Amino acid sequence: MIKIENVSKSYGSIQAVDNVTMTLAPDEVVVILGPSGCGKTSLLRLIAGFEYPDSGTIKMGDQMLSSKHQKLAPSRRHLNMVFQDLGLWPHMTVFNNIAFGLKRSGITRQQIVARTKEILQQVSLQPHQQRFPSHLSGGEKQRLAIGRAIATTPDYLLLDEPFNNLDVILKQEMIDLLLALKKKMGMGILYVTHHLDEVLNLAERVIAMQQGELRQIIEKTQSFNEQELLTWYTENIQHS
Amino acid sequence: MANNIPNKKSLVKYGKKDIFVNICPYNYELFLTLPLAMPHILSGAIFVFIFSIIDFSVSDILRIKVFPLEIFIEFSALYNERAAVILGLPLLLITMVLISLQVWSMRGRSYINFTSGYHDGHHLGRAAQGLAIAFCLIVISLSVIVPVGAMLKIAGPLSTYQNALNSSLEQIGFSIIVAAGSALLMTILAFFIAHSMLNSSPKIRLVLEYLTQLPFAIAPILLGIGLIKVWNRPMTDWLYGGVFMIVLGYIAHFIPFTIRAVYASLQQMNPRLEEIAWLATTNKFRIIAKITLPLVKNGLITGFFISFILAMGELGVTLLIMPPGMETIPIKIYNFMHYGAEAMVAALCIILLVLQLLFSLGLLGISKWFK
Repeated sequence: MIKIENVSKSYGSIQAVDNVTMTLAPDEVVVILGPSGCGKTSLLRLIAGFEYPDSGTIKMGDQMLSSKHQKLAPSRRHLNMVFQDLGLWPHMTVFNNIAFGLKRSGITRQQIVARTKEILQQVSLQPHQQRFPSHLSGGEKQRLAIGRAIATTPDYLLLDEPFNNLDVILKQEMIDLLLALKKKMGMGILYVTHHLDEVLNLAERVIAMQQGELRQIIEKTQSFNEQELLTWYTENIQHS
Repeated sequence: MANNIPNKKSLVKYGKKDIFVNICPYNYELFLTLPLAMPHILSGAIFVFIFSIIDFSVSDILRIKVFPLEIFIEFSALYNERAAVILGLPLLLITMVLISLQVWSMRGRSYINFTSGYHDGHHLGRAAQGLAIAFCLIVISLSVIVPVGAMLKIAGPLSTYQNALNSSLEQIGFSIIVAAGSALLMTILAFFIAHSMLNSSPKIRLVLEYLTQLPFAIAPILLGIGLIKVWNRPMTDWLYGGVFMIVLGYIAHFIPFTIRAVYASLQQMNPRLEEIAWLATTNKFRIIAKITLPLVKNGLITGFFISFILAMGELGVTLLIMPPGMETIPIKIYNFMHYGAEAMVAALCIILLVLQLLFSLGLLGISKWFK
C-alpha cells in the first residue's frame, strides 16, 4: 500500500500540494478530481519520484519512497505513469517503445521479445509494432502509452488525465481496456482527472482536491450517480 | 492609430492579431511581431556589436587602427604585456555588461527553433516585400558578392588556385582536422553543460546562462594573452607547444555558440520523454544515449558545424597562440598578406570559402538524412 503522509510541495510562492495525507491500496482505483492547477499532477509527480517533497513522507509498505532528504529512484518504485501528453518516444518504433523498459540486467533478449509481443497483444497493437508513434491514430497512441506503462508489471499505475483528447467512444474503450488490464494484473491505479464521466466509470474511491489540499473523499461503499457526484463536486470544489 | 487600440499589451499577450490586422496591416508587425521578437533583435544586435568591437583580425589586414589592434600591437610588437592587459580591461568591462544585458533580455528564451514552425501567412504589402528583398540584396552584394568577385578577379587564372592548393595542402588538412576535433569536443562539452543547465533551478540556470555566455565577451586578443600567461610555463611547456593550445583557444572562444545551439534543441525536447525513461531505468547514460541524444541530434549537428566553421576561419586567437611549425589556413592567408602575395591570398580565401560552403551544405544534407 502507498501511504502519503502530510506531504507538501511548493514552487516559489505557489503551494502546489498542501499537507496531503492519503493511501492507495493494491488493486484499488482511486480517482483524484479537481480543477486545473489544483495540484493533482504535482501529487502524481511526487509519488512517481520526480520531485522531493518539502515535508512529509511517501511510503510503500514499510519502504520509504520519498521524504524531504531522500528519494528512491523512480524506476525502483514498482510503479509506472501515463502522462497527459503520453510522452511516446517519437524516434522509436511501437515495439521499441515497449521494449525499452524491459531491458534490464538478467533479462535475455528472447524474454524481452516475448514480453513485448505479449503486451502488444494485450493492447491490440501487434500489426503496428514496426510503426513510429507519429503514424498511429489517437486511440493507438493511448494504447501504446498504456502498454508501455504496464510492460514492467508495476504494482501501481499513475495516470495523469491520459484520455483528455479522446472522443466519448474511444475514451470508454480506453477505460474498459484499463479496467481489464487492472483485473488481469491486479495493480492499484491512481487516476487524475477533471472529467466527471471518467470518475463514474473508473472510481472505487474519489478524492476531491483544490488548491493543493484534499477536500473530500467518497468511499467506494457509497454509491453515487452523475447528478449526485456533480452536486458533491460543486459543493466541495466550486463553492469552497 | 495606436491610441485606437484598447489595452494593446493584453492583446499582444494573447496574440489577438486579427484585431490589429483589421485596423491597419502594419499594426500587426508594430504591436505584435516586434514586441515578441524584440529580445531576439536586441540579442542579435548585441552579438553583432560585440563581434565588431572585439575583432582585430580584419582591421589588422586592412591596416585600420581599432582598439583591440592597439592591444595586439602593445603585446606582440612592443612586448608590453602590462599595457596590453590594462588597455584590455575597459573592453572586457563593456562586453561583460553587454552580455549581461543580452542574457537578461533573452531570459531563458530559445535562440534557435529546429522545428519548421507554423506561419499562417500574414504578409507585408508588395512594396514592403520589395524593399525587404532590395535591402537583403544590397547587404549580400556588399558583404559577399562584391568581395568574392574582387577576390576572383585578383586570383586570376585557375593555375593560381592550383599553386595555392599545392603550397597549402598541409595547412588545409591541419585546419580541417583541428577545427573538426575542436568542434567535436565543443559539441560533447556543450551537450553536458546544456543538459545540466536545463535540469537546474531557474536561478542557477540564469547564472549558468550568463557564465556560459561570458567567454564570448572576452576579446580574442585578451583570450590569447590569457592563454599564453596561463600555459607558457615550464610545467606545462609540453602542452603549450602543441596542438592542444589551438584546440583550447577554439573551445574557449566559440563554445558559447555551441552551447546555445545544443541548449535550444534541448529546450524544445519534451521533458516528459526523459522522465518516462527514468521510470524504466536508473542508468543515466542509457537514457542519454537512447532517448536524449537521438532527439536532439539536429541541435548537436548544428552546434558541431557552427563551431567547425567558426574554428576554420579563426585568426585572432590563433595568431597569438599558434605553436612554431604549425599553420592554419587563416594564418597562412595572413602571412601571405604581409608578403604582398595578393593573388595567393585571394585564391586561398576562395578555397576557404568553398570549404566552408561545402561543410554548410553537408550540414543541410546530414540534417535532412537524419529526418
